[in-house]
Amino acid sequence: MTNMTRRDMGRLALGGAALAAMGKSAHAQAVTITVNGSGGSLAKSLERIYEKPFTAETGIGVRSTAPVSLPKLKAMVETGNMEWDLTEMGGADMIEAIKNGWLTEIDWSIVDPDNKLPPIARQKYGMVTSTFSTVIAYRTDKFGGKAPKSWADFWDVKSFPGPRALQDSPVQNLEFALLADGVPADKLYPLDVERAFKKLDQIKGNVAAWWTTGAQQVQLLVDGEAVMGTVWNGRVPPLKKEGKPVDIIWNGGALQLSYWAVPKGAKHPREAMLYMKSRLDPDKGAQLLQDSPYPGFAPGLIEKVNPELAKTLPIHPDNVAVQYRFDPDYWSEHRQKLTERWAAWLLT
Amino acid sequence: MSPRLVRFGLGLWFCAIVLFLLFPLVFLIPLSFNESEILSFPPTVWSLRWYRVLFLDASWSNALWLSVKIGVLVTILSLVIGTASALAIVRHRLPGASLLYGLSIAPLIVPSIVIALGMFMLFARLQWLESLTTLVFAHTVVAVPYVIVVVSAALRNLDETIERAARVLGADPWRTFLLVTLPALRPAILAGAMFAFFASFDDLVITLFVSGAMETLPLRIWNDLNLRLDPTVAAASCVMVAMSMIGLGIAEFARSAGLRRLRMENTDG
Amino acid sequence: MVAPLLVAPLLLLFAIFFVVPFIEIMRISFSGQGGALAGATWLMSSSLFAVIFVNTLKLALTVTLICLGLGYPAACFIAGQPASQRGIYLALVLLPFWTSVLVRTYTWALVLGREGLLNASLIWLGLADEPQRFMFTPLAVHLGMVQILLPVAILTLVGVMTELDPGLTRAARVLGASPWRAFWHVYLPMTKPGIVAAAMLLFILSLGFYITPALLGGPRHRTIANLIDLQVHQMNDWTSASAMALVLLATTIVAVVLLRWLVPDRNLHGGAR
Repeated sequence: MTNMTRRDMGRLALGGAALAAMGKSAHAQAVTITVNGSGGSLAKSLERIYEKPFTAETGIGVRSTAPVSLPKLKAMVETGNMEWDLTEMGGADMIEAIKNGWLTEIDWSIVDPDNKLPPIARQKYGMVTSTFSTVIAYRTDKFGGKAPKSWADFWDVKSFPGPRALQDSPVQNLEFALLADGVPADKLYPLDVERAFKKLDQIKGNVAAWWTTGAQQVQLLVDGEAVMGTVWNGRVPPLKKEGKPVDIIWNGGALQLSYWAVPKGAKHPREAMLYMKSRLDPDKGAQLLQDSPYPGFAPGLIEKVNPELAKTLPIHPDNVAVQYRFDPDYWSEHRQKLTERWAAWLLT
Repeated sequence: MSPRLVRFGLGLWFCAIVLFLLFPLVFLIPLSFNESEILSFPPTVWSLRWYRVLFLDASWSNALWLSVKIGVLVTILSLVIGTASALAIVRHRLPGASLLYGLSIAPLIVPSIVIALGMFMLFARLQWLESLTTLVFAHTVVAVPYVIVVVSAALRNLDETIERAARVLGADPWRTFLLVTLPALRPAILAGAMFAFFASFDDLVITLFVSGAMETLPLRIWNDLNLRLDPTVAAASCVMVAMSMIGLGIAEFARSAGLRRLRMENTDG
Repeated sequence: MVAPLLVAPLLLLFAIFFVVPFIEIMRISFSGQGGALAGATWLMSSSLFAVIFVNTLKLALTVTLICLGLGYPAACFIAGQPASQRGIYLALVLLPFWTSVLVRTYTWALVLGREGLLNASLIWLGLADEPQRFMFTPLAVHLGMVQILLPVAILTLVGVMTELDPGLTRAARVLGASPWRAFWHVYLPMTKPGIVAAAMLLFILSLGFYITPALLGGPRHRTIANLIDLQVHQMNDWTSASAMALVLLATTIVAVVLLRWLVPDRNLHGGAR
């Protein structure tokens, strides 16, 4: 009984706050959905481009939370108190969540009734929200005009001397090592783990930094801590525009997908899916790309983008051709064991 | 070695320590005025861009305000609970005082991610997440140990005979505490208050799990960190430091003005 | 009579916000996949855990000693000032606290980087020919942690020193003791409770450090807290994570007991003054 009252009061307070935030344009809001994303500086663009218009159109309020966290999802499902109606998720996390039964099936008759999405974006438990690549970035001022072209060059410390930076994770680094060792991109999986670690042994002494956050990747390059390292593709273009001597190469990049998923026990799955549908608008998608170069598969999106910007996107055909397709299935299965081995390998 | 030389040496040492402590802050000032998207030194183009973001973007100013609010509430709670417990542990010879002391510092030991996960599981079930009250109490758990450690150390050092004398002379325990113990403990309580405030103000991990959609300053920074370290953070730090220095200046000015008036009144009268 | 009343709020707070959540996490860890002892089995068999555990202890110990060594004279200085001015000096020491640990750690990266201020100065002074590596070394971790913990050391020490009776040291001097002897035999022993309290606090806090080792030390200088985070976030293995948390808790309790045993406290054991 008390529990009920507290919950009701919480709702009331929440509704009140939302109304106050809406100011005079107060809509009679039936429902407010909670959308969990990565937050940060992008949250404002998302609010302007998607959330506000969605509320104006449907009367459904959107409340955004951050960050994306698998442990939190797990805890929420296990305690049966799902805070989120919709959440962003990385590829391997997605598979982990499906395996454990933490997600609700997407009702595609709501999200994409005309079946316009390509099959890759339409999955049973999730919709691709964006694509991104982990690629090599390098300092253009450090190699006397020469530019690295591939993972083999990354490993070649004679022709391209200087410290390197890699992510502190076996995920993708094992693939990169195999690519450097000459394994063709379509023959990577299942990974030859022994061969990959052996190849990594060769570069380990030259890796000055193992980054853990997105903020670090470029900071390391700009600080000169590393002359070559891995980054997410979206980080470099703004710095290049600013005149910083950095560039990326797409060759051997890891093309990855991130998803929208509705967690099991979500209180407003229908409304969440309506919101997913609104995220497929190509005009809005093109607007968002100005702030964040991680496109989804919204039909007609690429046509709306100017060709200059399109070339810097992970799904531009030229870029897709030289990258490998990251396999989250493999990693969902082996991540735990390989992460432990990775951590121990770093200590030796 | 004359005492004066010793004092001079200590002063020099103190200056060096303060320089070391303030070193990163000295960097933050130019960084916060740098136009660049990324923290880089030395700055190339000067601008107020990040200060504009800090004050105009509601997500930053709200986060700052929320952090200060929670910090103050946590400090008050921790002082009351912590001082009372320290008194009980040190002065009242409670059975199992050692054990109690051990328990009281346990929250500092258990890595916050573990407490945070535990709190999250429990509060999710109780539907306590996303409330200011929960967040304040959760922070108090990690703030109160500082108060207990500092205050009980001071209490142990405090000569108990004075308190006993006050009691013998007829003061009740409450008056003894207020008039004798408390004034003597003031520096320690002040130190404890500072620790408690900053324990809350800078907490990231517990907030990450317990706060729901409420965004404190560290959380705001953290949510950005996944993509980039925004120079707004440097601007926010500079504002905080400037505010604390101004507050300090006002307090000092008020104090010395008060002293001067006191002195003048004395000479006049 | 009053004592139970005085601790009641603390016990209530801890029961709801610490003990029950802690039990909750333990319950989960023991009911995880692989049975009740899966976590313990992992600890016993993992060389990773053993190495990182020892590294963490070493790091905590050195950081504690450095902070005490640097902080003690500074605290002496503050305690020696007139009471009305101490506040200012303490506030100076506390200024860095206004900046998030995250930010302070990042600024160290700018100082210690290959093209950072330190290297630039070394090369300019002719002390080095090429940039030295400071980032992701034990040096960087120690610097970052000491910068964060030093105010804690100073504050705790000052709290005790200001309550000392300066008359005693002066008496010793008047009676003919050299400054050094007066310090060593009178002042230092009197400040022992403060040193112990500070050492304990510093050691405990260093054991749980997370952000600084991660950003300045990198994965080659992981601490137990980093490993727990790795378990929870990357390996989805809460069982081993909670087992490690238990070990960390036990270690700290042992350390606290050991310190109390080495430096017995007068009041706690009922000794008269």
